Amino acid sequence: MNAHSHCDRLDDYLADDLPDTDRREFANHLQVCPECQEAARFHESMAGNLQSAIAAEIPSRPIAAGISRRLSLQRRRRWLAATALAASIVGAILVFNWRSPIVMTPPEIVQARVAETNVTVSFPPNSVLTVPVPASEPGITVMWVYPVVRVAAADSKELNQPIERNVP
Amino acid sequence: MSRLEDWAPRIYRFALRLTGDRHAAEDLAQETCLRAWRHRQALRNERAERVWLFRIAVNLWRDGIRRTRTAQPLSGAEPDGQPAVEQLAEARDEAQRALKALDRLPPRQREVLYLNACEELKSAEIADVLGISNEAVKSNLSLARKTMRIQLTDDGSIAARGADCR
Repeated sequence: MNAHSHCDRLDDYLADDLPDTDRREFANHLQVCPECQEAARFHESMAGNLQSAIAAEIPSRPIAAGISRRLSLQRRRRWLAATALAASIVGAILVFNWRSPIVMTPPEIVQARVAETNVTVSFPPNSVLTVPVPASEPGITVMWVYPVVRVAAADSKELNQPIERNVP
Repeated sequence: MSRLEDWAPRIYRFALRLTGDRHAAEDLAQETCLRAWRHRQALRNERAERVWLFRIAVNLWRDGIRRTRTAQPLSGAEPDGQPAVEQLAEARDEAQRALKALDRLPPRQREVLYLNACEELKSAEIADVLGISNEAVKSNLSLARKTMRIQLTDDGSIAARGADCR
């Protein structure tokens, strides 16, 4: 390797990018090459100057305090968002239940009601059926009156058959 | 992951090189720390922490540029609030001149040189931070050094002449 090719490696040497063997080789070259010596001196002096100049550069406001403030603000926002979401879910459930109440009826009551409403009774024609129903005030009796009428039927067999009505 | 508070000043300084503005750099540093905190599980290798943090800063800065479309080349831009050069001692004056020269570089050269000279990152690490090839890092670094040398030599001779005149 000639002297010129050594000089070409100055940038790599200054950037600390040379392998150990090449670095040692260049260090030997540096002892005898005035141009490289001057360039290396300039770089070291410039780097030293820059490092001392930037050391005086300090932020006008403390960055760490700002970070802590922003982190706690973010945490608070997240907590508020979660609380609001939970509250809206509970609210939605309450509103839904209020509008459409779900009444659970035991199956035996349902069976009894079906049996009550499907009672079949027979009455003589042209009679009246009266049914007492519970009144809201004491001392008053309310009667439901159902007239039983004969229905003319084309089939003569049906004329003598009792009329069937469902009690409401 | 070590404490973000320890990293905040370094992230801020790098952000200052990216943005060229103190307030924007503070916002970017804060945003970088926040994102790093949220994605701290993604950091597998503690040794790569610095590269990882700087990469987040670069990505956030580029995202911001894309969103706002207010990206301005920072050449010639001077971070506001810098102390006046006249008030500084000779050594500090030289350091400030170097910093000004750095801030006058084209954005890519400035970022590459900053990461190399101030953060002492290797080419591969710089390439990782900036999302560019190793060759691009080396060529930008070489150009940046040459430009800095020209600028600082000119500044030095001008300063020397000015001192002689007084």
